[in-house]
Amino acid sequence: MKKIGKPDESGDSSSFSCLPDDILLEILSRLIDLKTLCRCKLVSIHFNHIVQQVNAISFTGVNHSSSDSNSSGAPSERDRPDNFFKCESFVSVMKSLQTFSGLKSLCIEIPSFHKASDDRFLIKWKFEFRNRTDSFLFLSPNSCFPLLENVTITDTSKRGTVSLCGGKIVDLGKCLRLEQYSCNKLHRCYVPLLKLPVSGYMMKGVTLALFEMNDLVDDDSFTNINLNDFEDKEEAAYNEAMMEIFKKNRQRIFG
Amino acid sequence: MSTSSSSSKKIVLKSADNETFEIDEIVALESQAIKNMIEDECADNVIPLGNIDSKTLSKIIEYCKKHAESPKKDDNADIDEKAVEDLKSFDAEFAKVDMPLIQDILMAANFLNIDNLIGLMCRTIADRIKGKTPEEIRKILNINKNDLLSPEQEAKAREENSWAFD
Repeated sequence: MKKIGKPDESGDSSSFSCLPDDILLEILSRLIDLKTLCRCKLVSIHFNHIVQQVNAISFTGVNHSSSDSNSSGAPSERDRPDNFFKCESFVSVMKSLQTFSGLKSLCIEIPSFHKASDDRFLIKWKFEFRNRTDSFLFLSPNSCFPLLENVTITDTSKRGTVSLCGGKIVDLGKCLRLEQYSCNKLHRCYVPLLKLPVSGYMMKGVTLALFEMNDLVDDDSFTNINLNDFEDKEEAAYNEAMMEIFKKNRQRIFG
Repeated sequence: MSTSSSSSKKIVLKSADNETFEIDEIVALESQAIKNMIEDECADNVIPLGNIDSKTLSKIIEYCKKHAESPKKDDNADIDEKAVEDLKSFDAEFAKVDMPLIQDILMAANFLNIDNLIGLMCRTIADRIKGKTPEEIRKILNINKNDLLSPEQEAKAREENSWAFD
């Protein structure tokens, strides 16, 4: 049987290099995974050019402590959740993400900050959308992604999730600037034991991580949450915890 | 015969290497491009496909036959579960071929405008390169050496995305 249009062994011709742009984009759009997409930038000139048009991306954070064989029982510095957002690689991930200027849908999965067998860390995280945004913030400014419609953030052990679309993303974009991803703009506060008078809970080893935003120090929105607004008791407790930490540790957080 | 429009009408496809394939018109209609040709009445009994070899064409006909036989999704949602499963496993088996053939099928499916088949081939290629290094991807896809980035461009891209190479 005669073979036509086959790539030959010498690599002189390759049917893959003849693929039309829209077909290559179809292939690359199915990758979703940010890491593979970034690697594709190096594959060829064609790939490099087309991959930046991909508009749906998912990113799973790597927990750097997972390879750390800390068996001493004490929470190690590296285990602390905010280190994930502080580490250099996260900043570089965000910069890579910015090259995808047509991004419409973004899914971020943050690592679970504890070892499988270890439940020392009870992690809850959330986004707040009022005038400002608090707690974990790790989205790039919306201005880099004018088409962004949809963001989903979850974590590997399903302790929280947030989906944003439309207007809320614009709000988020307004209060974020890329410079805020520099490592030294992250504030964190670790409270070994936290009592919550309203909900009656006690929390151990609470970490609050926060990216600095303009005028945050003068903002009372974190400390004036009406806990009766929450139908879910757990939700109320976490909000109370956040308020407590802010009230008592403002100096420490921002000092 | 050429004026007949009964449902059992046959269409003959001729590959680049001059092999002919007689198929039911309903099978040929899986290709939007052939469908347009037939509707515009600009197709003779024999449709020459000068850029598709017989090996690729026979695979494509195999795919179109199966998909033409299967009940369409919108026919009846209740009875289709088994047919959908059957079609899925057919697709999975169908895609188990080497990369050069996948690429040929993809090019031909694009030319013939067979949406489902384009999707299946794209998905198959994406699955095979997911998680691989740039070098591995080049090898898997047999990327033309003339299409590579310059060493400087490559070094720059590698540095900008260093986290992806940990």
